[in-house]
Amino acid sequence: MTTDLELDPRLDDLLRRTFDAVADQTPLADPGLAPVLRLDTITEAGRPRWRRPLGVAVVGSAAAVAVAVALVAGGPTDRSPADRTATLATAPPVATTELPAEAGPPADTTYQVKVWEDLVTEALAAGGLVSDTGAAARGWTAVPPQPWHLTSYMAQAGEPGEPPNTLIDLELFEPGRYRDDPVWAQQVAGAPTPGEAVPEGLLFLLPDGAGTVRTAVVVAEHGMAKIRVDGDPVPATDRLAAAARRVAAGSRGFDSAG
Amino acid sequence: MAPLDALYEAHRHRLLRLAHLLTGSHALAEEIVQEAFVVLCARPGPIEHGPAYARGIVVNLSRKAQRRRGVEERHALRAQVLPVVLPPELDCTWAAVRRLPPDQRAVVVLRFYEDASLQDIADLLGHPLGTVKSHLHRALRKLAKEITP
Repeated sequence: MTTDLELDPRLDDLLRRTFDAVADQTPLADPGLAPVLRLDTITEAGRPRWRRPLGVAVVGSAAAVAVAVALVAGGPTDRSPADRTATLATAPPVATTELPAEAGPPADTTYQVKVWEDLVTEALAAGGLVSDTGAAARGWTAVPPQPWHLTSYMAQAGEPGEPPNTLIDLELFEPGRYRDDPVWAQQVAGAPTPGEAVPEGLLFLLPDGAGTVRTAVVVAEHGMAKIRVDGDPVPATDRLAAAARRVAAGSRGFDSAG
Repeated sequence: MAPLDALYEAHRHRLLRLAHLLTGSHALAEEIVQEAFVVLCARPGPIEHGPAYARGIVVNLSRKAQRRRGVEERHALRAQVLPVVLPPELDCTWAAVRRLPPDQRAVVVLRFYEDASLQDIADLLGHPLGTVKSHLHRALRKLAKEITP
């Protein structure tokens, strides 16, 4: 296979100038990862519990991320290496915010947020998003399963008669599959090696560049559930967390899903 | 300064630009770079070849995200498009690059922005060298057809 086109000087020049120009226009936010990591429990009786419900969100620099991840790794079976312990002991969290274990009633009741919550409720009522047919009947858009997804659905919400302005993306991860994916195993659980069990009830909140939390991943008994909200308005963090927990709790039957 | 902090300070912007070029979305690029550093945080022990390892994570997360965005766009859902202001010639080139399939786009960006060798690209993407050459050849053929008069 020849790649002589690579040597076309005009194309070469165009590509390099284009990439440089676009890269130069990449907005560079203030330094600081500004992540939010959350450890919490799924508070349904009779199920194994993550025994370290810290109930805090950690916001700050890369060092604070290390703190949070070290806390994740240092759960019921502490497998964190010494350097993580050192980081945990020395790196001060920039900010901590107490979050309620159970989200209270919504503080804002805009139409979009209500529709957003209704969609989550509807998805759960549909049996935890187990059926393409059922999803299609409800206007959900099915995304072809990725290697580590059981399924993924998207839906839109907006004012009546206006273009959709909110994209909700719910994903249910096939039981056990995430353990085969080293990126997810490490990212979500801090598991040093694929195949290690991750603590049920772990809630992982990812903010965007502006510090707005749009993504939540919850480790459930039979897999994981992920919610991503694109567009505005963005639900309050505790509501996003509550919805993610609800999806996770409603996902327990999807190993028998058709 | 901790190794991870130093890695972050020294390479975050470059990784952000790379993710931006690979996905076309600044918001997505921010999320991907953050996820990459969360992955790095979770790694046990010292991080060897940190910049290269971080770049590999960013590239693979970007490819995964780009495939996902492609599905969204095919379903005519809302897609975040970065408003970049470019001269017409470069704007045309950027539009053509954004239409490339994820793997072809990744190869082109790594080759012409990162100046990576074909072997490095193959290692980074986990593809055989021949596959990378094939992606590059097809991508450049498409770009030449769309860009050059």
